[in-house]
Amino acid sequence: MKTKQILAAILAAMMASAALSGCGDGGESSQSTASTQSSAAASSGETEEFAGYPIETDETLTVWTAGTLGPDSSYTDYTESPFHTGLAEMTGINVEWQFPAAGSDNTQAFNLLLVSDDLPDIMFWQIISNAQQYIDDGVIRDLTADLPTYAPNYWQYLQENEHYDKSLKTDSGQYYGVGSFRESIWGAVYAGPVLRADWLNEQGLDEPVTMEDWDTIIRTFNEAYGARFAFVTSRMYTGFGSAYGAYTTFSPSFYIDDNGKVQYSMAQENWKNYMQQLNTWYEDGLIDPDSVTLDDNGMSTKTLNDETGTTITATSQLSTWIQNAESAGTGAEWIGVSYPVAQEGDVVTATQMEDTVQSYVAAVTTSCSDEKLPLALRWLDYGFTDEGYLYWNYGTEGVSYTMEDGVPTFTDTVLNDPAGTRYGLDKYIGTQWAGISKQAEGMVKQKNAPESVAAVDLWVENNEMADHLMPYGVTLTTEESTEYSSLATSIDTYASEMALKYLTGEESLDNFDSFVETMNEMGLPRVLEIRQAAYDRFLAR
Amino acid sequence: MYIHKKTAGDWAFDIINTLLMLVLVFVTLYPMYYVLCASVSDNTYLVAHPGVLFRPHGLNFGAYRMTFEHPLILSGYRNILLILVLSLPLNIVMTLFCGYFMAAKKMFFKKYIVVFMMFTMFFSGGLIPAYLNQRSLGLFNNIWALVIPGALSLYNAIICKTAIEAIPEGLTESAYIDGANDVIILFRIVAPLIMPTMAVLLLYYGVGHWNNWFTASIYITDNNLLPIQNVLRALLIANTDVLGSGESVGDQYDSYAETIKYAAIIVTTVPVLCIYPFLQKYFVKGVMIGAVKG
Amino acid sequence: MAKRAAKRPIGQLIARDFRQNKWKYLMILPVVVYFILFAYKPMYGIIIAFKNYRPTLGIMESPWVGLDQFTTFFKDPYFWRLLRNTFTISGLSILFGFPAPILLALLINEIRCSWFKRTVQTVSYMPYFISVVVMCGLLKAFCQTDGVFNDLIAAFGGTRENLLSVKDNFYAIYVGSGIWQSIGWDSIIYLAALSGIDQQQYEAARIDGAGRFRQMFSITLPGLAPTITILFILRMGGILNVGYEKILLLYQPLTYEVADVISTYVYRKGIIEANYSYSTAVGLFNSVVNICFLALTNAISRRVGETSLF
Repeated sequence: MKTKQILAAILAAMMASAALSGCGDGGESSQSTASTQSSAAASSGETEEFAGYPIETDETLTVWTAGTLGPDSSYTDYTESPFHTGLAEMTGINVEWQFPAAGSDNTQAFNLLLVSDDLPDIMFWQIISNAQQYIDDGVIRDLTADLPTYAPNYWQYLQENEHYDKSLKTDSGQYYGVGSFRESIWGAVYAGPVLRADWLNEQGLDEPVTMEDWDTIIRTFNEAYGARFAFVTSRMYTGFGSAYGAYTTFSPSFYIDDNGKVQYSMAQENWKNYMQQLNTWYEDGLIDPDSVTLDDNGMSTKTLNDETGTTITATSQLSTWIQNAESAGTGAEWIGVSYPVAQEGDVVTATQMEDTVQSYVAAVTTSCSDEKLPLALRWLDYGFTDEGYLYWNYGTEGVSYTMEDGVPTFTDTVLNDPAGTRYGLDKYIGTQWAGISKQAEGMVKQKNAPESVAAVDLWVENNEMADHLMPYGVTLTTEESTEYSSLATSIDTYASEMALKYLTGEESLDNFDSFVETMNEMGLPRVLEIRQAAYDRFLAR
Repeated sequence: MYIHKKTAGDWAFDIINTLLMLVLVFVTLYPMYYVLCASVSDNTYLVAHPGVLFRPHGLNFGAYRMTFEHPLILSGYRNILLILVLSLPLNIVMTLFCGYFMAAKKMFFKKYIVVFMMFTMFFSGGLIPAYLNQRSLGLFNNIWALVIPGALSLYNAIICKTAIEAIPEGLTESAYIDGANDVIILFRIVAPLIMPTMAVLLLYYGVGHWNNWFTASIYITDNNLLPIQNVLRALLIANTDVLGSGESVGDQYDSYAETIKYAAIIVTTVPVLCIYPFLQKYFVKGVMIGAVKG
Repeated sequence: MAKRAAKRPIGQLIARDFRQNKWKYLMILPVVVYFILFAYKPMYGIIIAFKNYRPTLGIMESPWVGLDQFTTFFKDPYFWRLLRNTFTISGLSILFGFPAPILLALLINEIRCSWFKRTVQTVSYMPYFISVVVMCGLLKAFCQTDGVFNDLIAAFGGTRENLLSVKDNFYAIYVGSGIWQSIGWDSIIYLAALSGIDQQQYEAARIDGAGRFRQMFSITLPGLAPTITILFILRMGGILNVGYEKILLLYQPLTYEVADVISTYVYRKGIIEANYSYSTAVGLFNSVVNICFLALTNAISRRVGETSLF
């Protein structure tokens, strides 16, 4: 074992020096790429001082990704895209981007990529919960030894934030890639209660705080305008659950309770109380019965036709409604309001929120040679340098943004793109969806409509949801995930079916105990046990 | 020709039938008309008034402009045409071969071969082995990847077989006696006799290729090789939430989010609708009579 | 097999068969090669139904699990419900959806005015080209409490309700929209078959004084019989194939009880992880059931009507 390691180290050192002297860049390296070599290469140390970006190199990196970082649809491919060409210029590293062909299914494309034995150097995909498997199966490289040397900025970023650090290493402590982060929870919350401000004023009501307030508003709107509480079931997230300490509305989910225990949101007494309220509204004709089948489009129709004045939705929809109201001249003013609480002054615990670590991770594959590894890591590290952070979030200074009082501000080129702001952003920046960098709060605020910014400001205020969120980095083992999926689908199906039946009154909440009992028989305790174990391992990382 | 006098029953039948057909025409034509109107309507109006639409509102060709400004639209049309030109002759020949064989009588191995083929209608290795197989055959990221694996549909071959079986046996037997071989009989005698069915098969294969975006989404990675349906799919997907989360993408408002769906239908359906009348003439009654009785 | 044939050595029989039918065998050769190359060569992929497939390991290296995938499926609390719904939806689709295009073809055939006939044909198959997503979107809008269907119901004195959230309506909506979308397209094959019917038979029947209905039942329908039979056998061979896309777009938890089918369930399960092994196992189960139905229908049809697939 030991001799093998030493041999590998010598070999790697020779290779490194060969690469440095410039005679090793003939063709593709065909050496085997066991992980021992990479750590050896790192420990042998890089002899030359890093001179900063742009790096002078003839090497080309291949990067595969899907669903994010694609060139804007007005370009045939990435060679025309300002963001992609600009990135190559800034880093000095030529990248051959690989995307699934336009219109394909991304997950499928990724699975086919894995079997094709033609891996790129870097894959940027949602591997956060399978990383250990990919390392064990020899698909991606264990970067533990190399990150501090070749990706110092990223490394430091991880060291400064425990949650990020835990999320980006496996249960056994191996660092598996470079993540995609949100700078704060501000970008991670994007849905919540919204209502018609103009109606609220007309009726002389104040913005709601407690459930009583909401009850008044919904009833008043119904009497005055014939409007009802309507929603798209999948956008209800936690809905008004915050007032009851309930962590979901209609779609099952897990959360961490105050004692650090994993819980199934729908098996809780709190949730029952919450459903009781929804059922009361439904029976009183205050909830639009179409809500169970509505999609975003149907919901927009309802808002345009004054059929609803209160709902829970995401900021993207909020912007759409505001623009719709403007172009149709209805005079409707939609605003976001705070999540309700049980009593005034309470802290909000249950809201829609995503992890600040996104599920996208850039991993270096085993087909990236040891010689290329430093280059690949340097490229990945760029988004975590000050200069790279600016580039990933705002693009090129003077073109897509200018510095105003030290604050990067988007130019009209981006904000007034003829096709819409988001197309403008797609052309110049990389963090609009998931980028290999930190998503800047300032960027998110600038791309959003002012009403959406105001809404999110309210939703994140006093918000302790982060303590109850199941981190994305929690990983099930292969055995666990097989057992888990065989149980969980049926339970989820049963729970979501019952949720709507409780809403419409088809099932009485008096039988809530037998509902929980049935779920227990279906294997809920085992599901929680698996989740808990995985969560504990995450905490212990 | 015998002149038939219409009875009262015939009159009643004709009237009811015509009425029924008019209803059918209405319920099937209206949606197409709706799609057409919707595709040129104002997006906001369309959102506010789903359902019945009798005329376009706010005449807006933005969705079409957006569709035709897409950099891949022309190559999309070009590629699908190329696929059709390469595929259809291959499809027809393979289907005739297969159908003719299945319709044959008194062959020792026929039954086994038919079962051998039918088995594939039910069992397949799935996507991944098929993908690896096509890559190893070099049918990847080129036009042939969309042509050769789709050379034959057994379903269509069975339809072809049924049509061939309906041909009176006497016709082929006499050709045998005249010394013709099966290939000659197939192309000279059988094929002309089943013209209506061949027209249907041509339509089935043609529309099948036209609508098939799935194959290209897996075996093509070069955007310039994508057929039209994939290009439109990309356009439609670009107009929806990419990560599917509902996360704010800022001013995500799309002026054509609704209308572009309808424009896409028009852009892809109209060419197919135009082809049909040309095939329809083969469905005229009595095509066979001359051949059979003559 | 006849006794006389058995007396001769089998080799000779085969040799004679090949000599006599060499052109036919030559014709089928490319077809057989095609199936070997594109269907049988990748067929080994079926084994992942008996493995726990992991993309990173590949098909061959993934660990064997025997019949685990199947037992998971059979033991699932929803197995019987899924099976029942799948059969119901498929059965209703066949019951109503299969005869519809035949009827349409017969009626179109009876139209005397040729331009009207051509118009009906062309127009009736248009809905086939409307994508499922768009169609379901419209259907949802029509079914809402303020939608077109409810306007009609209200006009006749009914009460408004969200039609898609009522369990009892689901099959009618699903099957009805299916017929609407495919009736014209499916009738094309029958129209083609109609053109093969000898016109002199009709004239003879008319001379005998047969009315339109008589002609339809004693000439037209028998003329279509082989096509109908074959298509029916093929349809029965797909009895468990209920596509997920349309159901996924139309159902919601309140109608799961009647609308959740095998394919949608597998789809939802797939959301947790790309479970190729499981879906392959379920697909295998579907195929076996399908084959049984196909073979059964084929056998019945061979006895009764002399038309059969093999």
